[in-house]
Amino acid sequence: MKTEEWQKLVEYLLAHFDVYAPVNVVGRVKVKKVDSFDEIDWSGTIPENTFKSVIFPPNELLAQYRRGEFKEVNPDTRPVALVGMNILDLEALGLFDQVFAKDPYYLERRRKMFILGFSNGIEDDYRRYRIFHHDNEENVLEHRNFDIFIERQKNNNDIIFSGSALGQQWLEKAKIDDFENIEFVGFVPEQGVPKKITELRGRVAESFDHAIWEELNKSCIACGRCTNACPTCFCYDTVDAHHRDGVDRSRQWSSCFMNDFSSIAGGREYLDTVKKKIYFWYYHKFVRIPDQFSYAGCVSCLRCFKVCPAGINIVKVLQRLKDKNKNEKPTSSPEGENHRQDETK
Amino acid sequence: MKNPLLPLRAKIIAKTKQNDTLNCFRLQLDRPHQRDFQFVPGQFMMVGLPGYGDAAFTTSSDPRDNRKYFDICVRVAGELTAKINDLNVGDYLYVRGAFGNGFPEVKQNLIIIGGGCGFAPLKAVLLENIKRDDIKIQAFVGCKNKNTLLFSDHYADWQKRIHLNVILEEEPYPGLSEEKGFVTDAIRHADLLLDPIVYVCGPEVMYRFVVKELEIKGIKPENIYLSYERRMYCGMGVCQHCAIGSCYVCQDGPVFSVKYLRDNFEKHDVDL
Repeated sequence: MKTEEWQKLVEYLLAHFDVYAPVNVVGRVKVKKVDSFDEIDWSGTIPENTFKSVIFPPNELLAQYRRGEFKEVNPDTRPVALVGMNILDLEALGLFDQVFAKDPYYLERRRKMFILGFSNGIEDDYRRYRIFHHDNEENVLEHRNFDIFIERQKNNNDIIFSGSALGQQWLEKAKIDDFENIEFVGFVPEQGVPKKITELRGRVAESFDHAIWEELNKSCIACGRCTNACPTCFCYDTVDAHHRDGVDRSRQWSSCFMNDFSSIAGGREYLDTVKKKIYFWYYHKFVRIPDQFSYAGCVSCLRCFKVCPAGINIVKVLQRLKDKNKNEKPTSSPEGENHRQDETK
Repeated sequence: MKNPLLPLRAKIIAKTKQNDTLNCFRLQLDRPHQRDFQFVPGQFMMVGLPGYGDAAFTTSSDPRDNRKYFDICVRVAGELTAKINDLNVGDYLYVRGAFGNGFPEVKQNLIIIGGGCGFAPLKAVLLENIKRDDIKIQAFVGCKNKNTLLFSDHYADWQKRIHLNVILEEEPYPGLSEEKGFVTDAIRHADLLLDPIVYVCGPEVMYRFVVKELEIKGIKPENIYLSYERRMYCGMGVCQHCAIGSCYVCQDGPVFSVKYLRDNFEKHDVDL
C-alpha cells in the first residue's frame, strides 16, 4: 500500500485526537503535538525526546486538598493519539502498561490513548543496538500493545497491521481493508524470557565489584539527563504545592541520580555515591525489571548516550561487563570517544 | 477501583507524649473507612499533612482494635514530623495504607527486639499476643537513655506476663538492668526462650550485631525477621525509592526474614 492510501487514516485521527508524532525541526527529530499530516516525520529516525511526557506527564496532579479533605481530580480526559511510534518506544510503552497496571491515573489516560506504530525498517546502524538488545524476531508485534502498526517496506509498499478492535474500527472508517490482524498474546513470549534479557541480567546482577563502576563513579556527574531522556525510566516523587484554595498534590518525575532519592529521616542516604547511583540505574533496567516482569527494562534506543554530557555509552558499559577479568582496564575508555558526531561510524 | 494514591482523613483522638521529641497518636478514619481498616503488625501507613507530603509510619496498636482506631508513633526527624508533633486531639492527619507485608502470625515462642523507636510495631505484636497461654514472650528493648524510652508506663503491666529486658546505652535502668549497654549485651546475657521466632525492629546498623548474637545462640536465619526503613512515596512498588536489589521494601517488606535477605541480596545491599 502506498503512503497516500493511508494518509486519510492519519487525517481522521488528527480530526478526533490530540496527535503527538515525530517532527523534523531543522534537522532534529522531536516528538511534538501536530496539526497536519505533512508535519509528521516518517523517516523512522528515533526522536531525541520520547512520548513519555504524554504517557506519563512530568508533573501530574493527583489530588487537591480543599476544605479539610483531599479530593480526587479528574484527569485530563481529552483523547490522545501517539502516531509514528517506533518499535523501541512501543516496547517502552509495554513496560509502562505493566508498571502502572494498578494506577488509576495512568489507566484513565491510557484508556483514551490511540497508538499508531510505524517502522521504516531497521536503521543503518541497528547492528550497534543488537549488541545488547534481544533479536527482533518477526513475531515481535504480537507482544506489543498498539492499535495500528504501519511497516514501510523498501519498495515503498507499506504493510498495515491492526492490533485492536479500535484499530480495526479506524481502518474501516478510513476505508482501508488491506490489513492484517495481529492478536496480542501477552507481553512475554510463550517460550519465556528472551535469552538476551537473561544473559544481560546475569552480566549486570553480580557486577557491583567490577572496575567499570569505579570508573563511572569518576566520569558520571549524576546530572540525571539520562533518566529524563529514557523511555523506560518512571521513578517518581509526590510533591505538595500551595494553591490559593489549599494544596495540590502532584507526582513528578524523579531521578535515582538525585541526592535525596534514597535519603530517610535523620539524613541517611542509601545511594550515597555516584557509583551506587549509576549501578542502581543499570540494575533497575537489566535486573529488577526483568525479574519483576520478565520483560526488558532497556529498549536500546541509546537516548541516554546521546544526552549524556560525560558521553557514557551504555553499549560499551555492557560490553565491559562481559570481561572475565573484572579489574582489567579496557583498551579504550567506555566513555568520551565515539560520542555524537562519531556515533554512526 | 480504589485510588491507592488518595489520602484519607484521620482524626487524632488521643495524643500521648512519650518524650520531648516523640508522641503517639491514636487516629480514627472517617466513616466508613475505619470500619473497613485492616493491618497486620509490621505493615506501615503513609501519613502526611497537606503541604508537607507523607512518610511511612508503622502502626503500634493492637490490630484487633483496628475497627475502632490505630496508633502511630512520630519522632521529630524533619519538617513533616515536627509539624505532626505540634498537632493535638481533634486535628487531622491524612493517611494511605496499610501497605506491605507485616510480621508473620505467631505460632511459637516469641522474642521481640526493639531499638529506639523501632519498638513501635513490636508493641502491636506484643499486644496481639500477650494474653496467649500457648506461647511465651520475651522482649528486649534497647534505647539511648530513660528519656527516649517508649511505652515505659506499660512495663509494669507487661512484666506480669512476659520476660522484659530493658537496656540503656547511657545509664542503668534500675530494676531492669544494673549496667548500661546495648541491646546485644542484653541478648548475650539472657537465657532465650526455646525454639522461638524473633522479630526485630530498630536502626539498620543494629541488625548485623543482633543477628550475630541470635545465631550464636542457635537461632536459625529463617526464624529471624527484620523490619527495614527506606524512603517511600507510592507504597506499591512503583516509584522505586525503596528498592533494594530486585525487591521493594514497601511491597515485599518492610519485614523480611534473614534467610530471605541473605538469599536475595548482595552484601553491598544488605550486610548481614
